[in-house]
Amino acid sequence: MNLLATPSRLDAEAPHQSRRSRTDVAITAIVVLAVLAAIVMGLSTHRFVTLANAKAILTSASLVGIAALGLTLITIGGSAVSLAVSQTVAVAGMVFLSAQSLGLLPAFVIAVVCGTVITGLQGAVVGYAAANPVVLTIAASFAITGVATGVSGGTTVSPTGTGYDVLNATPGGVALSVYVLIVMALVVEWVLRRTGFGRSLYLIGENRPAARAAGLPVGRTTVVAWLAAGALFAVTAAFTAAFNTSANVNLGGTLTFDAIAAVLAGGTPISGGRGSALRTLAGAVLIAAVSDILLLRGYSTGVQIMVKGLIVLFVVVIVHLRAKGRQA
Amino acid sequence: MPSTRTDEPLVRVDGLVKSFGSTRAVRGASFSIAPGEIHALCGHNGAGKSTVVKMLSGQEIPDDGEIRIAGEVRDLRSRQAAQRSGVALVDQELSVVPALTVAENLMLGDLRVGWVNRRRSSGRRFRTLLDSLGLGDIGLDRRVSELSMGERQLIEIARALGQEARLVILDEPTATLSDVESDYVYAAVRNVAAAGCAVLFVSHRLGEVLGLCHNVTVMRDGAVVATTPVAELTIDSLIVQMLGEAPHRLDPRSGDDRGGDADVLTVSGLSVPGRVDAFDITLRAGQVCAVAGQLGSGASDVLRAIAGLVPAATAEVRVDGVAVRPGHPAASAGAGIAFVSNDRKAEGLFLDKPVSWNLLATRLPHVTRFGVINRRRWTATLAGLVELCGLDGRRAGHSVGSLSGGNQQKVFVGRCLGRDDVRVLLLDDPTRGVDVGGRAAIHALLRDAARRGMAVLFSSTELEELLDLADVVVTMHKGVVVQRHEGETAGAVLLREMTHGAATVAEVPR
Amino acid sequence: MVRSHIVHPLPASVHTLTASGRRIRATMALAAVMAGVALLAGACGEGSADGKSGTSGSGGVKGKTINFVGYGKDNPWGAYFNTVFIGKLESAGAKVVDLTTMDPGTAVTNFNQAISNKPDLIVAALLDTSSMVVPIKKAKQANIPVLVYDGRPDPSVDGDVMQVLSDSEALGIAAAQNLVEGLKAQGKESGNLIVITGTKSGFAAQDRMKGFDAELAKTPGYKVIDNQDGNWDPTLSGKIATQLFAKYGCAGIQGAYGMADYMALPIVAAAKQAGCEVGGKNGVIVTGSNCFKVGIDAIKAGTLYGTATEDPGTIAEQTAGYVIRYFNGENPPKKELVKEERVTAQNVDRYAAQCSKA
Repeated sequence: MNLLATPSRLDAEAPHQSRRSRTDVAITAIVVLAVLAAIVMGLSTHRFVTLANAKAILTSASLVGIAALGLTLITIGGSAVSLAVSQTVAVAGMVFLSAQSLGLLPAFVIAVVCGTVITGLQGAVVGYAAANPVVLTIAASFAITGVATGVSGGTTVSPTGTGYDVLNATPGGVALSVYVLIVMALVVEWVLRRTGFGRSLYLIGENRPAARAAGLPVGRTTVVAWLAAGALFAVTAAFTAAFNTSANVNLGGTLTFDAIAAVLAGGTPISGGRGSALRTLAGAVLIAAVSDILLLRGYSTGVQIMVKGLIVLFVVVIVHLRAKGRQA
Repeated sequence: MPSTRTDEPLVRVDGLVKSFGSTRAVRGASFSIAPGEIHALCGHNGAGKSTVVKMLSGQEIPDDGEIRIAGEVRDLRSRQAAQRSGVALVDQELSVVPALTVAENLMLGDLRVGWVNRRRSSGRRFRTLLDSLGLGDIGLDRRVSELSMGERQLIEIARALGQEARLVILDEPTATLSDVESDYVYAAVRNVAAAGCAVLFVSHRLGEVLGLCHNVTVMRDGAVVATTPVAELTIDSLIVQMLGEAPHRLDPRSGDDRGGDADVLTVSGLSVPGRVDAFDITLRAGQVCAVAGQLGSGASDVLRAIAGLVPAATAEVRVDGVAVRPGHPAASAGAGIAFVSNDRKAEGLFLDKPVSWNLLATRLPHVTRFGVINRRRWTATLAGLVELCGLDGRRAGHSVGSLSGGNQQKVFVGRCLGRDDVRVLLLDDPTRGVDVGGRAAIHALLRDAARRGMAVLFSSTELEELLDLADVVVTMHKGVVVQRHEGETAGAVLLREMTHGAATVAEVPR
Repeated sequence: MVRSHIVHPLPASVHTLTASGRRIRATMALAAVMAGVALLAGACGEGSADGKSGTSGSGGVKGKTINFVGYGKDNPWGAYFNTVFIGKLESAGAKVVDLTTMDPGTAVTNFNQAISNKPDLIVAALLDTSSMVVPIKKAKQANIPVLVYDGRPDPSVDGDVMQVLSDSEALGIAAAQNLVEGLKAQGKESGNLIVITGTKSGFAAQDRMKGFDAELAKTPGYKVIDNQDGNWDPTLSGKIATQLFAKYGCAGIQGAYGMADYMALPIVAAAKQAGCEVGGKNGVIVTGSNCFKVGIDAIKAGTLYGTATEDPGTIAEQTAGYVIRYFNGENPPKKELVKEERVTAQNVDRYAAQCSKA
């Protein structure tokens, strides 16, 4: 969780922003104090600093984390958030389990295609028609649930084969989803930093009219970001469905807001144009670690949810103050 | 022409001085306006008109000098204070609220409408007010959104009058209006004056100034040149007052044949409903062409339409003979048209991002291979551009927002340069808000771009810029082309065409 | 439809007497008397009285209008319940108006809508017991009888409705019995247990826990070391289980109770990922307490030790039967519990069919 203390700068060309305002120093001090407090809390919590617990934290961060990486692309590209993550995950998970009879890999591919298409369509409307993503995805979430309920008749999908169990494997004692999370975070980070698509995404996210006037492919870039997000949602869906060994329209649970919380807790501003995949990874792990501390210390679920909210609020305020300090 | 003029001035402005930092925007402005008088305030860009207007309407506090209204010295520290002293301002930007009704708009900012608004009594008052402006056929319950732009402007004037104004200031009230709509405004202004108010009329349209006003005060470089009764003025003498005696000549350049005879950009029949009518232009490689026109002339719309940023525009645009799909910025960019907006912040730079990102934003395909950024190409291209734009290479990593206005504009212009695929460079008012040094650097950049074979098309209202930079100047007035100038042209002619339109075509010395 | 007009005066008089008497039993007795009056009215009105008498008067279920404010069909349990329940009543000739939803707020709206529809009966499932208190009282004032199924209503309106309830305590008892049986079979006389419950503020989770604790108290060797709120959410349950296995280690947890099968299976998955053995000679014993197809499969595979029924088909049959008996004037008891069965590997085949519907 101390990943937050050293926010990774995006622009490799600008490692030293020389002028540091007083607010900047104050903000850094607050962040360092908060991280220290969290570390002390962690160290003083019984059984927090154990290998088994570290694994548990990463495992619980992994499913939310993968979806949050997808959401990070949407957020950086200036489309705020998708509020249809849970529903997309539910549908992709149901598809994944019901296609198990075809074998693990085909089922996985079908699920990814499903998630990609559903999310990509929304991206096309946002990218080309400049629809408000929040409104659009709320509408989409109802539509997705409606269609899924109609098709499945509301029943729970059970796996039609046993191939899915591979996704529950624990190579080296760590859940497979953790490896996938880390690899995906690195891939997304690389794409954001090192590709033309990544650069365009940051630019479009920061100033859409300017990107349009500069002739950047605004629509296409937005669609690609949403397509990739959809694929990542589907990966989360496959792991979640495999873990629960069943899927229905409620499979996604509170994932939409958990993923948004991870993105925001990582310090990616909702307004777009900034942020990184590694920050989101840090955000997901931070939330998982704090929930874990609270669980180990015996706090109720209510307190855990409240603290999650406070973390998001804290980071959002800090990010906002930093951004203001930079402009001043 | 005059109505109820007396010798005692209603408004007297004496020795107003205002500096912004080291710039003296206004140095000693004095004039007076009698009741019933329509007094014009003219001057070229940067002459200090708008600062005077701001001081009179309480938006700026003068460093020195005094303002008397009805013989009393007034301290106009805020817009409210100015309103209480009887100064009403009708701004360039309309401030009527389209979603509200006429009556509701008139109530906004009305000092006499208390907390409890009495519909009936104020309704009667508003009715008389509208009738006096010739708006008798407009119901108080009509939504402003249903009215034409000219009628909205009149509602704006009515609102100013409703404040029991003694001095009504109109700042370019007709800039965006059609002739018919402008006529309504003139009639209203005459009514206002006839009612005994003093009117200060700020305009770029010299024709209307001569037709409407009684006296004209001309400002140049922050000082008042003269106040003259219109009877003693012609458009030409007015332009002489505005520009001074120094002759402005369009620099004859030998470079017209530089890029050969190939036509790079051909635009025909460009129209934007309500803004531009049938605009044609052809540009050869290496030519720098200017579209000269004031606010509302359509010059800016022409550039935006060519860049694909105006969905309503119809035009046939060809680059190197290949037709460009209209209304799609990415298609225009793909065809080799680069556009530099006049709004650097909203539609130009990515202020939060490093200089390097901004410079390379429009050429990502050139620094990537299979979509992946090639570091060597990135660094090399960046170094070349930084050099070309005359920027400090060490600041390439700094955010553009931290640079000065001039340097920001260099980055903005620079990102379109040094590319083989850009054939046409469009710049909408390229030196707005840029200091003298920065302006020279940007002019040098543009000339250099032309020398390398680009066709450069820019819009401007600055005579000096037009005369210094352009090989060809096309003047526009109210959405139509007035004249195309190539070779030697006097600045006075350009100014006349920009401010007065085609009426003077015959006098153009060729 | 004529018949429904005749039936109305009856509950009206019941209501008046309830308000003055304020004692339910007295009301019931008086209701029987009033039923006779209603019967006479019915006889006059229609000219054909049937011999049966009861709170609902006459006429059987045929032609009756039932407004059904049940769980929505986007919930698998609800979907199967609704199919069975509506199917059975419609084939008996009743008209069922579907006002089902999974959203507690919409449920209140739908319930109010049902009241204004003036049906012969409202059948409702309570997503949120407290927000349904006022609508139930309104229905009572409007003299519309209400039948609640699955979960019990708020105690303040307990007497105002008829009830066909899942026996939550029995479900908890079955879960405890499964754990004790499984651990004893492994030769463990003592052990640490974890529990991941449904939404703790709901009666279903509270009542199951009550039965579970009471049953477990009989064998003091086994004790619950951690009890977390899983909110009927499989993903959340999996996360909590992952962290609990990290906290206590494989050796620190001998048994686990996930209140529904879809919560027990993520516990199994979490245990496996933590490297803990599940089931078998020495592994963690995991039980659910209401059965789904995935649970039956897992019991057959040996990863889930057992579960209990609470399957939608059985309760739907019984609820529909109750409605028919009610309209037939058989005077069914005000409150009925559905008999719940404990399911383990021994008897799983017997319950496989009824548990595989959702």
